[in-house]
Amino acid sequence: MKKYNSDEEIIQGIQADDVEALRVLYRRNYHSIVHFVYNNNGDEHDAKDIFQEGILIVYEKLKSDSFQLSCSLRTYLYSVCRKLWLKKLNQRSRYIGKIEDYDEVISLEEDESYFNEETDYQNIKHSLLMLGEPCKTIIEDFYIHRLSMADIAEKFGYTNADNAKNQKYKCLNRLKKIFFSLKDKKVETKTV
Amino acid sequence: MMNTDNNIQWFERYLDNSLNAEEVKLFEKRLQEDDAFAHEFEAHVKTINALNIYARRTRIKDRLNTIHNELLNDSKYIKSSTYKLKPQANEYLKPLIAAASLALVISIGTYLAFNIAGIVPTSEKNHYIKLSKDLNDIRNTQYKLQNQIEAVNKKKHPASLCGSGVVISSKGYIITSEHLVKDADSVFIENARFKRLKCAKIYTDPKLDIAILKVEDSSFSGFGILPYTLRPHQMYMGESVYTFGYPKQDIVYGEGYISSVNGYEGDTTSYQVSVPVNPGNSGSPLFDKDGYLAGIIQGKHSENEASAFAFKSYYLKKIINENDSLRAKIKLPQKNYLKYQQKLKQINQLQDYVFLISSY
Repeated sequence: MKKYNSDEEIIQGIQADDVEALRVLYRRNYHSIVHFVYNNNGDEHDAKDIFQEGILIVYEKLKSDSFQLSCSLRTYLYSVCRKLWLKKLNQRSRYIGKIEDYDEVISLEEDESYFNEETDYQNIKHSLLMLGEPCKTIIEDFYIHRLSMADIAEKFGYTNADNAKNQKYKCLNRLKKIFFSLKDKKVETKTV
Repeated sequence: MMNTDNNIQWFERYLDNSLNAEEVKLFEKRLQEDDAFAHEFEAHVKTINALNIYARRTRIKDRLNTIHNELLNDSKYIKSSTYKLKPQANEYLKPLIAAASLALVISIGTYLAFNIAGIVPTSEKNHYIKLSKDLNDIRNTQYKLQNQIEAVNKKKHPASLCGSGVVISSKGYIITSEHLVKDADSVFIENARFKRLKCAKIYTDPKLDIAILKVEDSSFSGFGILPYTLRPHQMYMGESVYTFGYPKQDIVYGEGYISSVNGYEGDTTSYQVSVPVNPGNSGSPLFDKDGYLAGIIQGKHSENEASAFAFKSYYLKKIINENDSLRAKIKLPQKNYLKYQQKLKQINQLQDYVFLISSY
């Protein structure tokens, strides 16, 4: 197994899709974030959520070509999680105007593209829930677990892959409708 | 004519690049000419994009959860983590630890010196009685009585230990003595206003003899705003204090004064108080004349009837502030509404927050 010591190595590992690099990043930083959330009005559950969301953002940033890291990976991750937590505290109106810091912080710009992705993610997640079975599983099997249409046909007892495909198209159409109805609703509530 | 399901098929094939050159031309031409078709294609692309984001994130999240569970199961990793203590607390503890080790060296030295000189200080240990009503003695007589009287109406399972406790946070946190609830598998609190509520132990410290309980009853919605706070600084010798407790089924009031700022054998975490206490007073709150919660009664001197010992609420504050999980949960009351009220009025309000604690 490859050893990951420097930031450089971890970044390369993540870009190469090596789970071990992610594991190292996770284990090295988990406690500092738990510590931070704990001491700023949160509990263990909040800490885990915030940390995983932060890791996800950093992970996606590292994967994108345009991203340039301007500080250590640790500081960056800490700053991202800190920002997420401040946002959450604000939402819960528990922010008391004072945050206890345990690490260096860099200021981050508001990330429009991440925000848009996040909205899409939440909307499609809800749409899938509203879609119901067997559509939800068919869509998930195809797009997330990447099963072939033949496998899906067998799993759901369709006589052949074409039948399953037709079913998938029907499901996708319905998903699209739900997805866009949610999307429009969000826009409405935003402007009102 | 293509129907919607068919359109999707075309979209998919176009996006996978599995159309031949002629089909691509046809497709792109239609995109330009047919607005409805173009609109539908755009919606398709957006949905697929969202699905891809969802797929990517779900895969990463699954991976993160696996890593997280590995981490929780890794005993080495957990042991090395000491994040529950604030770093400031650590720094703050350093001089304390230094002082404590110095004190230890000195006391061992003195002890040895006394031993060599043949003067062994008489131990006071045996004079300390914990005030929980240990019903063992009573139980023996009770059993005899039960044998004699055949028909005994046994409605309630008798509590094995009874004592008192006081509310420290309106969200349902109660402080009492650790020895009351040490071996208990269920704990109940009871008083005239809030009736009987089931509690869980959330924190115990056998050394300091302190336990924190939390009301777990589904019907419970909070104690409301507490009229008192913890006393912010220590008490002085001679200050007058009063206490409430449950040495019997009804609440009993007692008053006295701080007779020494240190407790049993110089214990700096407790006061010696001169108040009448009885078995069942364990965990009783000690209030000062302004209605501040000053301490928690723990035990008394076995020979000197007039002296009891009370844990300083000042240290209770410290325990809560230095323990991150407690600090996150327990919001201590902020305002003392009793300060300028007459004693009778204070007592009248305070008694609602003192409970009979029974552990089974």
